Amino acid sequence: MNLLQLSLSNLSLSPLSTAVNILLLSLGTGSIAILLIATHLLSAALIRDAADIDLVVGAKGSPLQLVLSGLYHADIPTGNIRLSEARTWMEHPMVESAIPLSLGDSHKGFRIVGTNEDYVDIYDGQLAEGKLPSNLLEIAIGSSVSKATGLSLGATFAGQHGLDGAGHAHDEDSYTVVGIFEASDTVLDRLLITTLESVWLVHGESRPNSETYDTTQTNRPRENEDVHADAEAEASEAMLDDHHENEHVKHQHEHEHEHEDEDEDEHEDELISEYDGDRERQTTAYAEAQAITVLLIKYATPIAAITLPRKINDESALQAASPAYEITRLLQVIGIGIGWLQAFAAILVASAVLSIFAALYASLKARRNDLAVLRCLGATRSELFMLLLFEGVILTTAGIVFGLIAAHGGIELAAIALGDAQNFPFTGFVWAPTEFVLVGGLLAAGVLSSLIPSWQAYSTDVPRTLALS
Amino acid sequence: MPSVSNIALKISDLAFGYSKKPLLEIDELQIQKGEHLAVIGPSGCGKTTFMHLVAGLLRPQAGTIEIQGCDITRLKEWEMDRFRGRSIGVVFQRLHLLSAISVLNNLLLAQRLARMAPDKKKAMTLLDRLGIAGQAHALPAMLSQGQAQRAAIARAVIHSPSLVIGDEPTSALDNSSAADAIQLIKELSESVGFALLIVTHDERVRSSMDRVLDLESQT
Repeated sequence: MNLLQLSLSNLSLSPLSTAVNILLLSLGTGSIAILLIATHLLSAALIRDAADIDLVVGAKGSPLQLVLSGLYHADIPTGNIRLSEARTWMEHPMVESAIPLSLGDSHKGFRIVGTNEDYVDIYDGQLAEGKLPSNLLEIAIGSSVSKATGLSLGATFAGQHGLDGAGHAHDEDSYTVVGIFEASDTVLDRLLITTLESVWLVHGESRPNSETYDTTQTNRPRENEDVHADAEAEASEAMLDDHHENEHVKHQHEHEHEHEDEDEDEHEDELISEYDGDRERQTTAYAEAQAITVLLIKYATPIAAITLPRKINDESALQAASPAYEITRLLQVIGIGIGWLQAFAAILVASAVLSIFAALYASLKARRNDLAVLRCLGATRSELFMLLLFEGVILTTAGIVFGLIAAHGGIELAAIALGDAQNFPFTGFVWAPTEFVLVGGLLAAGVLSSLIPSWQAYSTDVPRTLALS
Repeated sequence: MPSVSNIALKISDLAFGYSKKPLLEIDELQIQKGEHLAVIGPSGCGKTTFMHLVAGLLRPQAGTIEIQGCDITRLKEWEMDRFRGRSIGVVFQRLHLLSAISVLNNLLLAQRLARMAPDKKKAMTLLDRLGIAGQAHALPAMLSQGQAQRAAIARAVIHSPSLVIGDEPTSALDNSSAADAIQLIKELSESVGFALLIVTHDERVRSSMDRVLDLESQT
């Protein structure tokens, strides 16, 4: 039996009061911890998924929406832009690299992204199985997608417009899974990566010939589906413009089919030969006329941060948004809400600390005789001081521990319940650096709340107390 | 003339008062090891104050108080606390067992505060000798008045002090229990070897002590 054990025994003498004090402090601690963890997870995810991208270029609209949709895949896109228009900026001397993305479809809530291998590289994406998509309608899926949908290599599925799963299904063009990425803890885990050409094909922008195209797909007659009208970005206007510019390509489609009907093989061969001769030129012209949704740009020089966004916004019909700026703005907006919640939680903590003070003070009054007896048994004033301080620290520590367990456990349970389909996946098995500040602050508050009762214990007038008992 | 090593308590030229007028003055007092002294006097004569002075809880304005040859009036407060824990046992009028811990833990805590290694076996042997081994793990609130008094006596002697002070230790007991308690303390005094100083106005106690100090006659 030592003083610490005696402190524990003293607390156990009034279990209800002890439990209420611990519960109060746990509530306050847990509330603040949840906010700290959530802020930490969100900030970490935003920084991680930004992947050093300096600028997001897309259709005019909300710059924040452009960043959220183009970089984090957490919002609907602002619209589509022509690749030919984006090309101007892709080849700009201030641009080190530019990655085009074509968005619009999803599978079971996971977004399908038409892009190139560079996009996978910025997230250090590694394949767990299979290969990257190189042919039409091949697709590689993120680890979370694989886990949530059960898709495996060789599986086929059709994409749907939008992200909610209620959009038009492209049943005619099924994707085939050719690769599954390892988990990277980035947005890549929640994406399905295919080629730009596949996205264009699915949206009725198939071109007549290409080395990367499947013959059966290439030759299949297609209607000029205005499917983008239903797409999440409502980017039909831009796409329709693209369609007009592609009239000559489609005319050749129609021309081809007429000859099939007449079974004039020789004439068809001539046409194909003629077409093959111009294939390279046509392929380039075709691609340039297609739509993409965003362009992810890395600067070649720091000066670009000052001049390039303004240049794009002023001199083109496109919009350039800086992820760093927009995310800072977003966190500031979120921060206001978090600030209010933290203030509320701080009131809870303050109440709990006051409650601990009240409990210790009341306990001190009831135990003055015990303290005097302890002095008679040989305890020093300092030991009496420590006895009360231990009780305050024990209550505070228990409140902190239970509060943190509740916060981390609650977040982990919520993460399990919500599954892998979150825009910003989270886990309770993470420690926000600001939690150290929280724990330190709470312990200091607990010690402070114990100081007055501890000092009174230290100052116990033994003869007077014994005489009055 | 007793040898110095046999003197448990020696008081010389002691003077104490809460105001300018002295409440208590004792020129000379010695108690040998194993000796039993009753301190008597009417209410307000300073019996409890005398007990507090001997226990080192109060400091006299003049004079010396030596316990086992150590002048406790020269000790710093924390040194006195440690000395008290090691060398003095106290039995209170209202028992004052610590209510949050068991009887056994009350004894082990007394050992701990005497800076001794907790000796559970010794504590259980003592409780067994006092007939309350069965209540070792009970909280004080579960004990009868007599059992609680025995537990308090056990706690006062568990660390083998050289002096045990009792402040009206029998006032809350009936005749039979009071006689048992006094007998018990005297037996322990003989076996452990501590001197016994009991502040009382109980005639039963007074008559069973070796000597009596009437404080009224000292002032």
